[in-house]
Amino acid sequence: MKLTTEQIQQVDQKLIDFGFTFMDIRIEILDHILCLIETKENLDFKQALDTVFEEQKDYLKTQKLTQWSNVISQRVSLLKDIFLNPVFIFLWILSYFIYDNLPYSNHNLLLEDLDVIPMAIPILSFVFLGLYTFVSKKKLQVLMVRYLP
Amino acid sequence: MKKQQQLYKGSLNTIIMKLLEQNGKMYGYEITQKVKEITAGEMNITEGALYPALHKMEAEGFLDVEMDRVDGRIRKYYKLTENGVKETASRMEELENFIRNMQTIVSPNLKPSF
Repeated sequence: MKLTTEQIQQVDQKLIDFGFTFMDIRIEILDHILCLIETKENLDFKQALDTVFEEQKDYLKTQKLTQWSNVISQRVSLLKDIFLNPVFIFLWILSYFIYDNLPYSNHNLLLEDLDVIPMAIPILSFVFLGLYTFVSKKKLQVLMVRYLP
Repeated sequence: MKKQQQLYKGSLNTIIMKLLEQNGKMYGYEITQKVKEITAGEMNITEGALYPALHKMEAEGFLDVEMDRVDGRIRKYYKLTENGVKETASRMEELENFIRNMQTIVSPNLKPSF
């Protein structure tokens, strides 16, 4: 059966009510559930929806419990890509080297003009590398794409 | 049937990677249906096994993800990365060796065809 926009929204709401908070996890589960509903040709939408949720309840329960760990591991993977990037590590070392060797009398005065350089380099590199990693891994797609028309 | 599923368990990632190599990009439900079709229903990949395997391979850098709007919702497609292609070749070689050795044990007089 071909599903309407309202029916798709209904299934999505049922997943939200079930406990799927994170959109990037829910997108995939929603598509899978909708594919299963679409194969139930001999049932109406409501019957197909209830049947599929009943058939998939064990899978959905497991996914609901693991969604937090899945999201955390995705975020950690993203941070690792930034902080373990060789360019980022080089810039941190360079910043420390500059800070340690700049010709000013007191290293503890944060407001000295030259003190801005070793702070600015890692901050700026974090921002640029973060953006590059985020965009290059296509994570932006998950946030930018609106799956409900 | 359940005992057979246990035998297939260790080769799930290899099967997924091989399918992606042959078909380009695929989505989760499509992979389950393709496996069922190829094995004439003998092998049934459950969602509980498939999606964690796909996510793990994505985290390991073997798979890349593409999002497309299809039939009013967003569909997540998986495809092999460059590392994924190399890894698939390596795993297929391992699987072929495994099958050859098992064939020797099961039917010592029969030579495998590949």
